[in-house]
Amino acid sequence: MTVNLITLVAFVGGFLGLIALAVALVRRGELHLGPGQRPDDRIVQQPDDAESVDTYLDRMAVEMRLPAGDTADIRAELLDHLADSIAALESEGFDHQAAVREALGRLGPPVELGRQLRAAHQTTGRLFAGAGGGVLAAGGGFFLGYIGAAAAGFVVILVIALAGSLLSRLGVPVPNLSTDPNGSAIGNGLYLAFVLAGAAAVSMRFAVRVSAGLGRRSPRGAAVFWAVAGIVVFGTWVIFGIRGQQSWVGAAVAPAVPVAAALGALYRIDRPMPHVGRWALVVAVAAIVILELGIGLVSSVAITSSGATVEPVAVSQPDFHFDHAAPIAPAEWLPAGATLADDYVESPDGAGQASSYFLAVHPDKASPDPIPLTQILASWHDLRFEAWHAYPNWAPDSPIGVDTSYPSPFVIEPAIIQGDRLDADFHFQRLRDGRDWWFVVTGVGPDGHRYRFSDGHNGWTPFNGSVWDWITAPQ
Amino acid sequence: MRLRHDTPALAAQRRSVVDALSKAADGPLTGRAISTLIGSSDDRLAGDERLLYPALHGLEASGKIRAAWLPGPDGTLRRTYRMRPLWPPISGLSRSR
Repeated sequence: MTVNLITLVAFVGGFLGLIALAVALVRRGELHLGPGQRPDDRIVQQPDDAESVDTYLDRMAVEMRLPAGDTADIRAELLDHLADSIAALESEGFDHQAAVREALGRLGPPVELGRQLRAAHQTTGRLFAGAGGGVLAAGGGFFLGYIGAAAAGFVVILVIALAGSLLSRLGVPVPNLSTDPNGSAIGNGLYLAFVLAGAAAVSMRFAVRVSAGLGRRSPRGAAVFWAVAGIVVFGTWVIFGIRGQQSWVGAAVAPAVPVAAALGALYRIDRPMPHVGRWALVVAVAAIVILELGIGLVSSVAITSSGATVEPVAVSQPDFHFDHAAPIAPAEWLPAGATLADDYVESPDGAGQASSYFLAVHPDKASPDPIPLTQILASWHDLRFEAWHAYPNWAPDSPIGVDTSYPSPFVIEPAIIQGDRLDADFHFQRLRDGRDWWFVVTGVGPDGHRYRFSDGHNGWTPFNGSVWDWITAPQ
Repeated sequence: MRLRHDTPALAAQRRSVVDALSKAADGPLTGRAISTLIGSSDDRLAGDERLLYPALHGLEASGKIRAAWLPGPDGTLRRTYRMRPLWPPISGLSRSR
């Protein structure tokens, strides 16, 4: 318990620490990206017939290509310098216009001065500092955006649920945004895409502002790099990396995440972020409060619901429609007492191994050795496992058993004899419509017709793969 | 004349700036004051005002000198420079702004 508590504190503390570090880096970067702290209010008399001081400084600033804060500071510094120089020259006997020309001439061509100042500011060390700071800021910004978007998404879900409930009471048909008709999770995909899009946008915005500020680069230049990086990284992650239940709606909205990353990097990236620390604190606290309240609310509803008493209902044996797959094998073609037992073992990734074996078929009760499987099935051939669509057992009021609307099994695997049993591997988790299944073992009997050996085994395997797996799934 | 970042003239200007700031006893200096100090020397290359601010900002970027906006005699803020102290750091001068 103590170790778990320490781990939890370290885990949460690490996330919060990374967010705090990212915010600190953004604030540091904003010192250079903001308007500058030195007001550009020093009045310098403008010459009438020479290149104006402002024009000179404008041409220099264009060539510098530095962040706005640094540019403003350099302009203010040079205005000071020029004012002092002009005053000194005038005291030496220059008239004002000549003093301005001389002062500007001593500073050299504005384009060259701008180049020199850019080289002085954009050092290799600052480039690495900007890149490293950008990566850290991207990480912290991702977590901040994640919890913020998770809370915002939760509020949106509550609003939609309330609106849907009201519309239902008024008799207005409301579409099911939670699952599609096949039971694929739509709501999960939409919510995940919403949260990741918010996280990606905040992540890239933080990265651009920090990279530009610490690297003394223009935000627009850094934004292009981070937009491309965001599209590649987040696009690869959401298309190939995130595994779980999928749906066509989820696959359709997945590209919103890299698009949000690019927008976060590019959209009005020149706008300062002066209050990022305050906003980060507000978002973090609001997210924690909303998510805590939401989880508490959902938990209380679940507990209330589970507390309701349910009266037992007498259930008669339904028709499972097994004969839709194949008629049962005639008993006279199998040894006496031959009963096939079926089993299905699922691995954590959703793949499964189906197996069937005859329960203790002995030639006589005195013999401990069972009849070999090959001998039992000697007169049978083309043995196979057939996976049929089943009625969804998760849907209320749904029939149970093999779904008769499908004329054929959706997966057929040859039955491999492994010792005393028949085996086949299934990958329902990689089939778009393989969620509810019922498999039976069939074989072609001596009369040339196909029969089933038992009533098979049913289960429920949601799709478990990436968006790419979903798109490229065979069915 | 097109100047490159690491020309002998720029290197000489940097040395002159460092020398001027090392000898400054009256506290932080503005770029104009540093230029005046350097201009009184015999080094023609170092006296080139075109390289003054590239040299100052390059030295600041490398951490050899520190810059700060400090109020001048008339109360307006002016950007000033001084050598980076080894220890302890001088309050108000540890960051460029």
